[in-house]
Amino acid sequence: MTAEVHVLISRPRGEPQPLSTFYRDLANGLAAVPGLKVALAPHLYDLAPQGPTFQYLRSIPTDLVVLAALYPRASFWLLDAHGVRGRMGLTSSLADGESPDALSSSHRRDGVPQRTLWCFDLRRYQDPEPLVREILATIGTGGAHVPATSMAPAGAGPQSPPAWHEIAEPATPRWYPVLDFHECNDCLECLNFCLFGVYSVDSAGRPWVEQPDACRPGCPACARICPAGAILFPQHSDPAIAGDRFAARKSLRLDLSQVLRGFRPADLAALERARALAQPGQATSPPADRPPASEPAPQSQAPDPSPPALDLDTLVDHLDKLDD
Amino acid sequence: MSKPLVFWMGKALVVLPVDRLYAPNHMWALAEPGGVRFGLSAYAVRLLGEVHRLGWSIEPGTTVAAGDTLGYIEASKATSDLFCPVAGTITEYNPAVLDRPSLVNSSLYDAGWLFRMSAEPTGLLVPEDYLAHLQAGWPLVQRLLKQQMEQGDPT
Repeated sequence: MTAEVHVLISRPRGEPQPLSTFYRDLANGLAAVPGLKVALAPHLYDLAPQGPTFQYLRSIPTDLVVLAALYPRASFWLLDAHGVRGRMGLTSSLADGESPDALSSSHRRDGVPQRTLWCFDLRRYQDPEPLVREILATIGTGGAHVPATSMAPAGAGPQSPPAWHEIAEPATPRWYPVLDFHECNDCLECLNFCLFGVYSVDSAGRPWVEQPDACRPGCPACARICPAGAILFPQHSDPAIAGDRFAARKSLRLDLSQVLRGFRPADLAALERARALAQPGQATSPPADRPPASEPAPQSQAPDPSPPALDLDTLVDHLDKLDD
Repeated sequence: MSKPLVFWMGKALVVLPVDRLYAPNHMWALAEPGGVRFGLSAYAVRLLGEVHRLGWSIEPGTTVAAGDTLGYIEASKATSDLFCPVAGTITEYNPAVLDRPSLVNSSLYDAGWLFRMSAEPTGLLVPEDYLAHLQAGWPLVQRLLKQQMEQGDPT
């Protein structure tokens, strides 16, 4: 480590006050390392764009380590959207085979400073000690291992009391999209699709998130329609939408939200029907061998007319609209 | 001690202890001196598979309405948001489950509880009624999941 490195520990939502042992030990362990400047802040995703934490982060010109309960890709582009820019550093939180330079390159990243942003996903760690060791190894000499003696216990010497500080910023849960500009191909589908005016287009014809707080809480619809998979909702329960590129390449897991929401069967059936009536054959193209709508489905024994193939994603969005 | 009720999900057996109430959103509820304790029913856990991760988006002490989103859960077969079963105030999340989400699988009716609320246990179902709720909803749930699987497969 050649120069001072700043570390931001982003407290996840629900983290109690005073700090739990994990976060206290993590902050103490890092603050005890010479050359590290450690700050704690509320959850990265919930911070105000012009609040003290982002102002502080924008003022830091050197390398930066960000620890948040988010996928590193989400943290990186979240920082980028708030003017905290740099090249992505290689951390163990990235999936196997992911190249940080490839992930953070973009045609619209001219003028990005050469400093490194290392993003770690706090959810992967049960204990602070391995995380501290990993951070030191990562930022030390390009990934080489730092001897275990570097992990001196906090307060080992009387001259080095733990010196981290907590940024006082009130934070309430937010919900907004984060654009991955490495993936974005400027097709503007998001701009055309969003009903709430979240997206805008810059002078070069490229989309950006102009009104993040106009976004509809819980609605991930634009992320689902983005052909490039460039829209992240870092707090979404689906890893593929929250920023896990590896999950995006696997078959998607089921979304049980409709079931665990606890609708009565009649409610669910009514929603199915309403959605089918509202969008006849629009959202999903029916299979070629499907019989014409006027003919009864050969296998249907149900007393109610069998709805067209249900697009669960659209149903989610439909449920959102019914909340109004 | 009364025998638990059982529900067959296809070939899988789901056990419903009768010492507690159930919410229509597939959570069990135990009224205790410190409030009402909630966890996921065996039906929900069976649909989810092995629980890898869960998180909460509502702070303890927050007043919530039935149906509010409290957090999320990720498991081997499915992900889902987690919804508030009744109106009231969230008083505590189970720290043991946050540390070790697999407790939801290994001890779903006991150590794998999810949260405690200060609430009136209104709108909850006795085990027999919850069983009837499962039976009535099962064909539709199967259809929803089947369609989702067909559409979620990228190949």
